[in-house]
Amino acid sequence: MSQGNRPGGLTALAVINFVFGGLGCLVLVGLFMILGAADQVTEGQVTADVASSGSVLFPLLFSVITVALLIVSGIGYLGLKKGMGFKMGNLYAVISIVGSIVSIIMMSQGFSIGNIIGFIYPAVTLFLLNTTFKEDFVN
Amino acid sequence: MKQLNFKHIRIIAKYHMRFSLRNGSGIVFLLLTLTTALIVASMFIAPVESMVDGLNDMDGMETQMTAGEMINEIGQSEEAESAVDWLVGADSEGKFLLRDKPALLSCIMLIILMLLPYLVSFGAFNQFSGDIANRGLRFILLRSERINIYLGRFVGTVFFCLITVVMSLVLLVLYIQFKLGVYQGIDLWVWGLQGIVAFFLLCLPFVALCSWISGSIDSPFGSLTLCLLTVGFPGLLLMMMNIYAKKDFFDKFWPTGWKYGILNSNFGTVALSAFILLAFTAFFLFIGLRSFQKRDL
Repeated sequence: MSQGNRPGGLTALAVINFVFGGLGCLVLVGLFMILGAADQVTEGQVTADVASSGSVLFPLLFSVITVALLIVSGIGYLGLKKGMGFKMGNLYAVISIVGSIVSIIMMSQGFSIGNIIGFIYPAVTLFLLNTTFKEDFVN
Repeated sequence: MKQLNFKHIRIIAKYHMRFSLRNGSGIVFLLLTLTTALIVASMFIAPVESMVDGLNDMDGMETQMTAGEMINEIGQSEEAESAVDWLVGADSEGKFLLRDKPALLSCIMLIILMLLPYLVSFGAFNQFSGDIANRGLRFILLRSERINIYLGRFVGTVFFCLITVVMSLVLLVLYIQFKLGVYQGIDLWVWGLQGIVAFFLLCLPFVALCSWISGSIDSPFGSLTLCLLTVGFPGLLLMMMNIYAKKDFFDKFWPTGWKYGILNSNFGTVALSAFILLAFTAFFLFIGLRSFQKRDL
């Protein structure tokens, strides 16, 4: 299958990945800038606290991984690449869903409607990659 | 009408439903609808949930109410009732929607009904325009008649929209039932079912309108723009005419004016609204089909 035969849905998924990935990047850059500024004021105390506290470090690491996977799989979707698109897309969806479940367990408030919103995109990605677009990753 | 073939319509509808997910518009519609429905729900639920959590976290301020009970209490208030009366445009409907029926689900369904015509445009704008632009429809025309293609894709789009909307509503009802747990399960599901019927009936005229636009234009982007404008603009204009002329009938000239009628307490109003929405559908389908049968593909 040539690039010209890429289904419109995969292009849409790639664009959505880039939008979410880009927004995630902006949030992370902003967060690191705030951490850096706070570090200068407290002489490195903030970074030490973040590194020692699992409740801060885990969501931060999780965000970095999901943002990277979103962008990499988006590129893979455009190129119809089996490894970079199909596998990375699946990995993003699974990590995202597992991460959300772990964060629900870790949070004191428990399960809320906001968590379901967070589940939608990974769940739709997982479903579409393994049904509708399963045969399209030919490169 | 001799060319009408229900087997062809069924096959085309089935294929179009599957194909909707393969092209971008179906995915965008699916994600938009699910996200919108949940965001609307979270507008009502999340502030109360965090308020209850906040009260429970404060020493000596533990509330005796759960989030669900508090939402129900707010729903029973006179302020909420008058807000719903104003939105629906009928004086006694607030009491029916908020006290006789599960209030939270009523509020969520009212807002989704308001947004549904715009959401439907995203799912229905590319029924024909893309295939007309790339001349793909000519291959299908070798195997079936225009009327079957037109009706098949219309039916396929309606069912795709319906499945998506049902998924959203089922998610919400499950959340309300199991997480908030303030309403009787049977009341919630029966009311949810009526909501699905309302969504389905409101989808019909707008999908038919989008079929007409999509069959007349050979640019998917142009079709989306025109669909959104045509779906929204007349309704808003007629609503403004209502406000300026201090009358309440101008908006009845457009399907959006009948959207809340299907959730009415009076069965006559429900039946009349359903009939009018079906009549709008038949009208849009008729003129859309006429234009599609005459145009160069």
